Amino acid sequence: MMAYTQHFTIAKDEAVFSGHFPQSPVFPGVLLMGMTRKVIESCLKSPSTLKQITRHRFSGMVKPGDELTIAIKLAKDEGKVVTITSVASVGDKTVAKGKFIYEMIEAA
Amino acid sequence: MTALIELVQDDIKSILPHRDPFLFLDVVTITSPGKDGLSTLNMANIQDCVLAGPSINKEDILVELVLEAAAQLSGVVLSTQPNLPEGEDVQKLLLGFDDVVVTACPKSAELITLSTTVLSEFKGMYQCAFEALSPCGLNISGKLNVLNGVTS
Repeated sequence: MMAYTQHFTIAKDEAVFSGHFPQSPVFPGVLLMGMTRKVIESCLKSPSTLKQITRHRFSGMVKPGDELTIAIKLAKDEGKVVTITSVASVGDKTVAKGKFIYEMIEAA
Repeated sequence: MTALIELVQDDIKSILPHRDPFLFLDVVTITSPGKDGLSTLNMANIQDCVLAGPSINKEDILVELVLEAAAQLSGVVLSTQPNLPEGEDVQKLLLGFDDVVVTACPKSAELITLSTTVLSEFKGMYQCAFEALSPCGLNISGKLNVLNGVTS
């Protein structure tokens, strides 16, 4: 995996919007992180565990009905440890970016 | 010695805009007003239906749910700071996370002890350190950045 991009549509009737937030629905940033992590983990070839998330920034809001793009890129491969950078965007606007560090699980 | 302040969910709802099913804290204990606080996160209480969204479910994002609870706790602790700006133009936003270290992933029915400490403030932007611990060995720690002020 050198780079991979996946597209999502945030449903207007997503259950989470009733609590985040009732007056002004916004897709939670931590769920963006979770979606990003799921994209990353679907691309990793070896079993691995998340060790660190760093420099993760939210710079925009994701609203009901938005078309979300999550792009990930292998930034560093140190054999047992890999660093993946991510950018989540809606249209031309970056809404989140960060760095995820995974450690490969060695076969017993 | 400073007396502990215990905030129940009605108090928390008067501080945070979060509501069920995305309000994860029932009780917050302020151990040092404006600076330190504690809470307990019961992962079993987080509903699966919250996460019915785009191809994710609760089991996929247990780490992120702990991060959200830590952010909610930090928001409550910050609200006890003296001289916070008030009014419609005050924004409360989660800006990001730094140096999150995951030494073990949470389980979907664990009781997790959360703590947070306000580290610094600059023009309404606060950095808080947090830690999440469970008897089963979960340990997630890191820093989170929040805005609690007026943006220029």
